[in-house]
Amino acid sequence: MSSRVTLADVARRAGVSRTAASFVLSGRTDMRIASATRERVLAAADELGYRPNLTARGLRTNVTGTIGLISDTIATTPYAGEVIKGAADTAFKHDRLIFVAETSGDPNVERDLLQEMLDRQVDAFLYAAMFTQSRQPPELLRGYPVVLLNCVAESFDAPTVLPDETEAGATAARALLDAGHIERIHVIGGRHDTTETPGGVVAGRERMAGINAALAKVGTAPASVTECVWHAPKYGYRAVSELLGHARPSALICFNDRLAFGAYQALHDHGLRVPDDVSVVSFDDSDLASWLRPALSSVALPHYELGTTAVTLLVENRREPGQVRVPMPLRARASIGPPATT
Amino acid sequence: MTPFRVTLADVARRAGVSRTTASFVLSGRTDMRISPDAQRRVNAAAAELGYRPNQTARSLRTQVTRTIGMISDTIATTQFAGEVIHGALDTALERGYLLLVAETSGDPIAEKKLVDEMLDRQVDAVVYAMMFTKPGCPPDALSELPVVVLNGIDDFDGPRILPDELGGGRTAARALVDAGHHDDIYAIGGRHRTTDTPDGVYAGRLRMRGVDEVLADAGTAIAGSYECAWEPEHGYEGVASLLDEGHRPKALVCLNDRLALGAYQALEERGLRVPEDVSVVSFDDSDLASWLRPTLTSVALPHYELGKTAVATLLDGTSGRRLITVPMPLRPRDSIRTVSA
Repeated sequence: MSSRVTLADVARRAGVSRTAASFVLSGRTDMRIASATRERVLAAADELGYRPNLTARGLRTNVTGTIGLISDTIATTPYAGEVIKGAADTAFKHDRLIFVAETSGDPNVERDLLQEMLDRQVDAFLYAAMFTQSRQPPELLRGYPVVLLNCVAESFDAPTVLPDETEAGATAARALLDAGHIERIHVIGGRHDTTETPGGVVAGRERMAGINAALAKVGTAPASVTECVWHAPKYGYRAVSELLGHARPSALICFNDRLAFGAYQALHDHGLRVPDDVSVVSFDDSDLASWLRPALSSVALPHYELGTTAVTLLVENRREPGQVRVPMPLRARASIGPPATT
Repeated sequence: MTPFRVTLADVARRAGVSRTTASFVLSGRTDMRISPDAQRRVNAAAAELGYRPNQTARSLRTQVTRTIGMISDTIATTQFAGEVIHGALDTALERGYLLLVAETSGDPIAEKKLVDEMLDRQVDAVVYAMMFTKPGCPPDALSELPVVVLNGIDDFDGPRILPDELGGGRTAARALVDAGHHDDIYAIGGRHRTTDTPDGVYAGRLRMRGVDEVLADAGTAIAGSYECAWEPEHGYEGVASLLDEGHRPKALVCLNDRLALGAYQALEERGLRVPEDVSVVSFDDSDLASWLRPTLTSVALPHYELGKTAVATLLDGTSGRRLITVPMPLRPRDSIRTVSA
């Protein structure tokens, strides 16, 4: 089928047996081989451009040098690409490749995909959610090297890589405090406490806790928290439009850049300018943040670093359960100013 | 280290047949006579034990690993790439294939190493993808595998898959003409003629050709084209400078949604309303199109379909030099005003 150089070719060129060539190339030391022979084999392999057949090696050693990335959804978030890139770059540095699979959150699809990966003897798994949430990895994964990415699992012992959402909340609040805001700070998005996610989502709860703690430290608190879904600007637009009907905010903390985009639209409709009249800080640092006018100060979700950190744990074969928190830095732009004088 | 796996030997033992017999039954081979009773026993044993064939072992024998490699120049920097991967994944999985995904960042050395790594794992076929239409050809190392090229505009001795940019350009212009627009139609972004790309880019040239054709058929032409890179700031600058120079556009053809965002910002600053004062049509149909107020009518880049078509073409085994174009449909929203004659 292809003109791939085989072990037999190398042995022939070096004038040694196939067994001897195999021992030299796999680095085994349990057979005595003359150093001249060893050199001939290595030279022949080099000249012919020999590369080991990993499929065959996988049968013998149970190691195929592949990592499976199983995620709920790749396509619907523009950030997922960065997670995959971080994971793929790091894997590649360690001579591993990544199988990428997405389940759309369907447990049947998840089981099939996982089975397909096990059939191909994937060595290790990244089990990922595209935003921080509680998830239960499938039972099939038990016993394999697994790192959980962006999700919290109650009864599954594995290292878990998460963004430091609590500290991110504090960072956003401090950015406003540092600019002189102390009262009339309103929150848009909140814990994401909605019909579908009663009590909110992990990212929402943790960011809220960070915000409350940072504000409490200086004796203040959010003037209001509007709970809503985060996935489209229209929810931010609606929340801020309603808010402006009865309040005059000094600053808004929007729980992602899309909500902030909607907030900008509502403020504009009311003739209010960012940051002259109202300051805005946000989370995600997506492309949108730099596209808005004025550009949006946003606390970055470290997608690339989440991918690199998770694969590093797998490659180092770190199996002990526990959370690794990846920092979320503030990307300061032009949406925060001193409080407007009223 | 890894959990217990049911082997062919386990199935044979449970069914009370030889390993060879079990193997013949489970692989569907018919070149050995096996009694229906033995066949039934083997299948029942396999089902009871939850036996699954070891693809790694099977691939050594059949030379088929049921894996497809997807080698892309860049995954992360475009927000649409996810949809391409999604379409490819769905189609692969439907047929029992998995996708190895890797990105080269356009670096030939990284690409060579990646290709080797994929060949080491005996991928059956490769999607060689670029995340937007541009020149590029798969490396020679891939010449012995089935390969499709996605978004590549260079000639290639195999299937190439591209969005129908020319048709997309026609569709955008037709949306304006059908709404009664005739004069004062400006293009923002144009062919993407910049210092780095003095001849423009493929998508820009074809989209503009389609726009020009349809307007000519309607007895009119573009009133002006602002040539620039395709990011929001350029759309903003383009529209701001048009207005400052005294142009009064009735409609804008923005060459992508990011340019349209910039156009909206410039129009808003000058108190002009979309679509009452200025209609806007765009390309991409990214998330932005539905996020803008009013929502933006945009000609969709069919990312999901591109990924799907690439994998389907590979698995259908049709090879040979040819070009497959994927249609770019209009997603009508609220940014075009109907003008009465």
